[in-house]
Amino acid sequence: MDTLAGVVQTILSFDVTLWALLVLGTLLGLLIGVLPGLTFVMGVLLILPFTYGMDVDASLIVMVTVYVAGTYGGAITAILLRVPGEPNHVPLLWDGYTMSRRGQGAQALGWAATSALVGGLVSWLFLAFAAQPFAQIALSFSSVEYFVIVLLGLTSVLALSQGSVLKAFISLIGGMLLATVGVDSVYGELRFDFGSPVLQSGVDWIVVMIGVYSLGEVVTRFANRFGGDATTQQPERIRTVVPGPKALWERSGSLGRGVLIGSLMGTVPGAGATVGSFVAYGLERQFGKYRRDVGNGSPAGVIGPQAASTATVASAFIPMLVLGIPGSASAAVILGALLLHDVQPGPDIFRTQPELIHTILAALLVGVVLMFVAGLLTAKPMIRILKVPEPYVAVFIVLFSFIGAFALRNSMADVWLMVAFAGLGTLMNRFGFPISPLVLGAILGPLAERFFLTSMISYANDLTVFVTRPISGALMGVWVLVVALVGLQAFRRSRTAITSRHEGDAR
Amino acid sequence: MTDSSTRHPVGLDTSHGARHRLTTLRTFLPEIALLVVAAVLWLQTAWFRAGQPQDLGPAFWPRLLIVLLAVCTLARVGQKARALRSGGTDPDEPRSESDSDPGNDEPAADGRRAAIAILSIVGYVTAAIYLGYLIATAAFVVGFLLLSGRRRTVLNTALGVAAALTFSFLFLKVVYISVPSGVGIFDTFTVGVYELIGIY
Amino acid sequence: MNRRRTGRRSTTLHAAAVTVAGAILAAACATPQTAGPDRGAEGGAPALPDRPITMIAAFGAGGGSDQVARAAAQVMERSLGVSVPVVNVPGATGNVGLNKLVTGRPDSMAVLIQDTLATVPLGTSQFQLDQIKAVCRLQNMPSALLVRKDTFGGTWDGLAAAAKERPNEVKVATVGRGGVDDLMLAALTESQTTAFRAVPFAEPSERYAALLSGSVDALYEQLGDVRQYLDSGDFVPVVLFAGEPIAAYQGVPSATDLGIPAEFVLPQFRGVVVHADTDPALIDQLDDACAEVVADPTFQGFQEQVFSTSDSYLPTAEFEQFLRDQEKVMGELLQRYNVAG
Repeated sequence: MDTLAGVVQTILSFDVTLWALLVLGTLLGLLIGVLPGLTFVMGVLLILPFTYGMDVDASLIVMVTVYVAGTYGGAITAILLRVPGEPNHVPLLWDGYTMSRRGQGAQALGWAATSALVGGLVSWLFLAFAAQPFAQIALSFSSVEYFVIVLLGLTSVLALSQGSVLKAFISLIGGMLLATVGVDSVYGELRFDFGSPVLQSGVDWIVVMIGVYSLGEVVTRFANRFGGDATTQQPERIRTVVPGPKALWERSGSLGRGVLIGSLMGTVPGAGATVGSFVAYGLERQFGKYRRDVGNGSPAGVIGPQAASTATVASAFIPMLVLGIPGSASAAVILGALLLHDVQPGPDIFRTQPELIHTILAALLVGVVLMFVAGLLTAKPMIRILKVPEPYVAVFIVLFSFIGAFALRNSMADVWLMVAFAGLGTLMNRFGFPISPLVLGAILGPLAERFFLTSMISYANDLTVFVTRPISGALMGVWVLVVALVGLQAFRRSRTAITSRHEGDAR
Repeated sequence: MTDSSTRHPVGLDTSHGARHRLTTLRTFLPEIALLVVAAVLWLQTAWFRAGQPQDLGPAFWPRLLIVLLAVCTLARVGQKARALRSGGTDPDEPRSESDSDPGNDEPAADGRRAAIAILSIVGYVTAAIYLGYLIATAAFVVGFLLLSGRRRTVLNTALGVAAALTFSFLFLKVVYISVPSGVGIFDTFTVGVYELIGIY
Repeated sequence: MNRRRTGRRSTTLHAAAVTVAGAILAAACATPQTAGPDRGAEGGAPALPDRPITMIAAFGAGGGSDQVARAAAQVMERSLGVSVPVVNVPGATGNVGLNKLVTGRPDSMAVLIQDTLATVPLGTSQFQLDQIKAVCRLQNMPSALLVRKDTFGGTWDGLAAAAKERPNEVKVATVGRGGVDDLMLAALTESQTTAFRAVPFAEPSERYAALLSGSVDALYEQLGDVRQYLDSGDFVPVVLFAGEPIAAYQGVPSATDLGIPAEFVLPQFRGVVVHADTDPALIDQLDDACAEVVADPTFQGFQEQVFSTSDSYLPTAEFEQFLRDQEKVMGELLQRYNVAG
């Protein structure tokens, strides 16, 4: 309990300046989360120059709060506008946005905020009290296990498709092929560049995401003359947004799964919030109590991914503090800042610098709570965005999309690609190909390739490693189960499809 | 339309057959396009370095994907063809509603207006390169709102200018992002404005 | 075309801008930094840049390249009198960043490292050497082959014996195929008849985790990047690839001790380059700024942390020569060992 006492003491010792930094960091994180393309990694990076002049505590506090709040902010725009501020919020489009279109935007936001709170708190407990065992788990994962995890994430696409599984699959492979453009990370070979410098730089999934979702949404809405939307009349009457204890209890399964997945994915270097969010969604769809409703505006589809996303934050600090390996890109930036302050995290830090650990824990704890409060306070005013005439919202989405794609690498090539993907998204819509698998493929495809090839090089092209290693074997078992379940569902659906075609499509 | 192919072998009734072939071609347009893409990409992989003899090499993964893509597309062609022959429509084809994402239950978009929207964005990006981010952004806001049927020119212009200035300040000064400043006289103008509002 | 606009800028306006930008955070800072360049001090110098000079860090945030870029930019801002914002342009082993440099206007710099330079002779680069001009080298750092403590007796002999006993089965974590790592391993194979299996991991954190967990047996890395594991004793260097001996590791054999010709040893370097069309006067100024960077006490602390050698700083002309020599050597080594396949 030394840790707890230390954290409480640290929080009590915060002066006005530090509290101001906490609030500022939270607001900044939310803002960055809201803007598509400005990822929370960039948010933390943005703070970095300012932290040179601060002491270690102050810089840690501000960066940690930006990071925490950054994993939540994007939920707001994903749910209300179908614009994912961050890649990990893509799953929130499917249920969160649907809820919002039904006039349940406030509930969806409430669930998102609550899940973020729970995810943040539980993973905080893991960091505070179980960092060592978690770090050991992280070390027992190699590229073999990563590959199977990514495979699980990719398979969630099958779960996503309520239309044709074949079409979803084609879309997924298309996304994975897109991601092979540019220099590959294993052999350094230039692939599918067709001699164009735009393509040589590669296709980043953030560009794909902004193009097909954010810009694609603008194009679709514009084409429909911004008409036929039910949401604008709804939100006034809503009173409560926070789910009550009974509702919480009912959804505890989704929360628990999300938190566990998030904590694990955060600890494992190379996975992170996005993979965690997708895997959590897939689990809700396959095994959740409300799996039938997931994909059709169910809170479970918001809870799992959001709890997982925020749970990755505290757990990303586990390998960083215990092993000196940052669990995510944002954690890497924070590690860099610590190095600049002559603090070297690593195996000894829990013993040699407990105050530092307490500061990080305190900042995380306060950050999570502040994020929740700010999330609640902003939910209602945010819903008013829906009252603004749509063309005005649309034009700003375009401006943010431009900046988002450009800011990725300060390159106009990415902006052009983004526009091209908006066009591709529109075409796919026209021919009835689902878009989400494309994005999922673009996000997870490169990871799948890298982990697969690394495993193969490491084990002399022996495919059996995926089943003979204990953890990867167990995960492979889960994967087989998921595939079998999806296969069964698809089979059932195809039999009922003839009689009642539209039943499953009312999403 | 679908039964005709079984009753009239192709070529017997020329005008009907030709029209029918055209319809069939249109039905299979996305699949044909996908197969062409798969073929082109496969040919590209031949140029990749082979790597060490024991390596799978950089071509392995894309080829795996291309084969999967081709197989799925062919399966899709089979599915469609079966549906056409049995006289029904393909259950997986979009009708009035788009059959895409969960959460997207909007009516199928008007193609011409979608094209206008994309072209206006293309115009914005092009303008950003030559006229600079500042001018392009202001112009795009005004233009897009006008195209969207918002005709309050004064409000729109004020909004456009304010947005361009705020965004430039925010992204050039606070978060450093080097958005293009245009060429020639536009560059001079942009830099002048930047200096005026204290970005440079 | 000369796009310099000297002396058009008002100091008052600038001060106002700094205040506004700083207010975002500085107001709340415990010890607000004195942000912003001091233009007055160098007002008389010719051809002072009047626009921000972007510093391109061609790798992701938090890594070594990024840290050098940020540390150098901070000092250069003071010296040049304009802001030097750092932009991360990662991807394709630094090629996306260098491509941005050579296709953009001659008003930015980039940090070039050994691994990015190695893609030029390999033929996968998106720039050529004649498209860039050297400004200065800031760091020259030893790389090493490292093992976990308590494995292979913590010595080269132990590792080499294992590699000879089980050829191509002892795994070494590297950055990617055809890189400097592969060349150095191939050079070892030639001189010592040890055959390793190079396993590429693009992300540094994955490489370190791989060695810590025992997924691989050894790791090729700059010493400075694994400082924490060296200090904690988890990793032990067994071969050093360095231009000069390192005080802390006297007993560890260097690559030349193992029979690799000195001119083939490729230690890691990080230096500043610019677009080939950059005004020579500006390059001179940037080089002067570099000299101030390496003299800065904070930067020197950083140099020490990454084991940067005493001859790290190279001025423009020497760095230019160095780059050409390195490219030539790498080209020869690639041919000799055929590691790219």
